[in-house]
Amino acid sequence: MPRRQQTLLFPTLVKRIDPDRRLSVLEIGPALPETIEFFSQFKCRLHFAAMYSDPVLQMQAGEFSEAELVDHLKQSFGFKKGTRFDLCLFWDFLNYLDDKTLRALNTVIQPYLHKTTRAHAFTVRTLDTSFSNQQYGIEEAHMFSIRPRKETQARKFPKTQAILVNLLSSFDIDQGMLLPDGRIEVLMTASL
Amino acid sequence: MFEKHKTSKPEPTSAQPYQDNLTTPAGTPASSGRAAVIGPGIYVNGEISGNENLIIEGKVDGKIRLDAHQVDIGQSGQVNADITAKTIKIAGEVRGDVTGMEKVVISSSGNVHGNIVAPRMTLEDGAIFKGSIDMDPGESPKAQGPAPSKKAVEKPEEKTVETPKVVASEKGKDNSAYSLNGS
Repeated sequence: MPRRQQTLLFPTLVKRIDPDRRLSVLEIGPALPETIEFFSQFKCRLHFAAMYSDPVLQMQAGEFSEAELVDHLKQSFGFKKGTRFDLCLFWDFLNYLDDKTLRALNTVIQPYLHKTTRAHAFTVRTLDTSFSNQQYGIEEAHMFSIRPRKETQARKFPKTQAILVNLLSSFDIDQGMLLPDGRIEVLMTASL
Repeated sequence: MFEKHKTSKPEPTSAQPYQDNLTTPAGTPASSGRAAVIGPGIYVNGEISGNENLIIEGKVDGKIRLDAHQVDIGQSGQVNADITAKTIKIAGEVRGDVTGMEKVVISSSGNVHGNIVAPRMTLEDGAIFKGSIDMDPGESPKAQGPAPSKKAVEKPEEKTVETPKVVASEKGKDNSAYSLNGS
């Protein structure tokens, strides 16, 4: 059974969803039953990128240039032309990317954002904050599910809010909520 | 190719028709009505269309179109094809775009890489999926968010719940006038 984690910030995104318009969501993690069930109440397109198991997490340790990482990420995401995401769910994925790879990710997703694209992520309060090898789903607007990840935990590159906004320049942080374990849940808006 | 043989015993062809009250291949997903079967040792390369349900335990490359019927891909099924059907149940491996007129179900053993379009979609725990899902419930939800789920209503609180406790920052950006999917 998955653990659960309350969220006070995510409901503020959900209440902004216009039910009469199609919602486009980028989920950086794997497809989970509860996430699909949650979004099934909306007219929407969910893009599951399953990036936690992507080779990029191993590639970044090698001698790949930022341009090569960009090429890999473009191919891996496989976004359709014309896609514009309304909501990006990054969870804690950004803390597994080194600076070069995070800049590459920023380059790749920027064309698929619009001026009010929102994003959700976890950063850390201090660089020594630890975080578990887990994956996230959405049970309800105010409740995330947390499951242990099957894959071995990748090398961590924890990001404070200050570091994150420098590297992920496509977004500005709007709100942050400190969690008991030292992570910070953040909501971001595209800065285009 | 998938014609029924109501009175005679099916011949050992690449696509063997059978009824549900007959013995079905091991691991075959449940299906209602008559269905044609592509067995585990069969490889089909081309376009499949017809007027009955289809069970795939073998390998199919190409295109599958059974708009008014059900396609079941069993655990041993390997499909590299775009699939269109009324209902599609996937317990095997699919590489391609999947369009379910009514519903698409990916079972716990299912592994799908492609894009799915369906009014309703179910993914079982353990299933692997990479791609996009287009869903349209046909009825607009309330703007204030989801109704309480069955889980919340029926289950006692038995899980660990992590509670946020301190507001670390709030930039106060004025977002009061927009809808999330309004651009």
